[in-house]
Amino acid sequence: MRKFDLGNVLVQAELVTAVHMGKSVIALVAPLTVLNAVLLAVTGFQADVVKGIETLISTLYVVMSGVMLAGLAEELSTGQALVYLIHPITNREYIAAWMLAGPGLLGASYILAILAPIMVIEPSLVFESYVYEPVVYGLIELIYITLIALMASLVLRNRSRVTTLILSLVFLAPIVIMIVVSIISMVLGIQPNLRMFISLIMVFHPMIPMLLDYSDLKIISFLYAVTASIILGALLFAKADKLEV
Amino acid sequence: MIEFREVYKTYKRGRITALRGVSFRVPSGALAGFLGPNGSGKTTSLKLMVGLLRRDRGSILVKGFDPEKESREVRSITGFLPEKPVYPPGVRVDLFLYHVAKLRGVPWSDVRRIIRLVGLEKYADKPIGGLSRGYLQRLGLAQALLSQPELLLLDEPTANLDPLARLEILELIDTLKKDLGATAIISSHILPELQLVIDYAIFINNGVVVDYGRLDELAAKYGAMTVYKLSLAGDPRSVARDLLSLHSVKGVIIRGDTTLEVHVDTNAGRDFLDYIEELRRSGLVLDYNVQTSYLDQLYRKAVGGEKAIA
Repeated sequence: MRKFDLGNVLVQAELVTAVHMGKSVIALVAPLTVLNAVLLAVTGFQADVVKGIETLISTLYVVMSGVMLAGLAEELSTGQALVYLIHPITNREYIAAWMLAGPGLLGASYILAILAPIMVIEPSLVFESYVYEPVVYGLIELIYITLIALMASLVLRNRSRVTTLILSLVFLAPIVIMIVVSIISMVLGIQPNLRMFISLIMVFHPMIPMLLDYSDLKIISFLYAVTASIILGALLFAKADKLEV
Repeated sequence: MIEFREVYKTYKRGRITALRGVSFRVPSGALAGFLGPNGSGKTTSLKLMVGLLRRDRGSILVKGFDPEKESREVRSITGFLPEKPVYPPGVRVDLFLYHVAKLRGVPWSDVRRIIRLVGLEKYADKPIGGLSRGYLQRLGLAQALLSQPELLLLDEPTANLDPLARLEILELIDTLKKDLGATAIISSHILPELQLVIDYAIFINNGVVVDYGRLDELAAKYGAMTVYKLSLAGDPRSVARDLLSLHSVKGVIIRGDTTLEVHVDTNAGRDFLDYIEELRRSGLVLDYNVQTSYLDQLYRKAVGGEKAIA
């Protein structure tokens, strides 16, 4: 028999989507697409406006994704995972289904929510770097955070804890970092600068250097997020092998 | 079909011991009862059989496969009814079974057949969250039976059901066993009802399998008696005299004008059953049934004391 059956992953991802995401994603995409279209139409297609709108949408998406993917923690804590894993699907395929339904589906709908209005209103702008760059970075951040949510679900097995963790990473961590760095700088008598803050905050928000036009940090942030996502993916599979339900 | 050798399993980093060197075998074609009180290790053992848990030590083979390393192989030949399954409440019954069918490579027509078989037709298009416990158990059986598995693992299939639903589920299991010819393990702590369907038993207590084997062999080993209650058409004294002449009958108690309580050597009860059938045909015996579970006796003797199972 095959070690890894992609067909099983697709079948399970379909159910994960229907049970945990279907309605929420539609409820998220529809208003965001409309909001995006209205804001773009009203404010024009200036680079800063586009970046601002995309940041707003990406943040909402990251938060919603974390909340939705905490559904894995719920499946594990309630025992719902068991009713799937008693059938010929391996633990790895089960986790891969969540990875596909989570970062995959949410990523696709994120791109749709941002690019659909632009494609309709002014298609040529899609090829402008100030339009597609934030989408690429937002997508990387989305994948990165959703993988963290999945790993946290596997480890913590508690929906509310995972949700709290994701909300903390998105909203609380940047503030905490700024406060801690400021205190340490004061104690050491160093003058903190924005670059220092950005370098630390990009651990949780890979798209930050891109938004603030720190071009030298952009590539580091990109490489960091991609590498971290690959490592997280591998760790998820390793953890799945030891999964008990 | 299934072989456990010195299997140990602990939870919470060794703080809770579930299995302490469990060893037993279940041959192909057996309908085995996995019997023991709550918390004795039945569910842990069943989960280990399909690789849902990882053992600490020992070896497990299911039809030659190691469930930990070859979980897909084991899961594809096994139908598992968990003790307290949690289904996605918003999903329709038929769509959930269709999902299972896709994972098992079974056509949609089989889903419809299995829905009919377990009596879920009326609820097929309803969300799972609206099902009663009895119908949830039927759904559990339906998902376990899709693809006609070679091995059926049923964890407390009659738990939390009313008496009528319990009887229906047991009859269904008995029918399925006859129709499919599968090997089956039914875990339960309710012994009298299991006695009606099983032919093999594994006794587990406090994480240790104390004995296992074919029921007739275990009955012979422990000298277990089955107590029958006979309803008669006439005077019980003459029937009692005749019964006492039988090799397998060890005692008869007259209960009222038309009722007898007969203690029969479980292992040698054939002559008694033949005789009773003869009396029934002649009209002297109106009805008879098993009054006391010999499984309970077997369990008490196997555990080595007066420990009751429930």
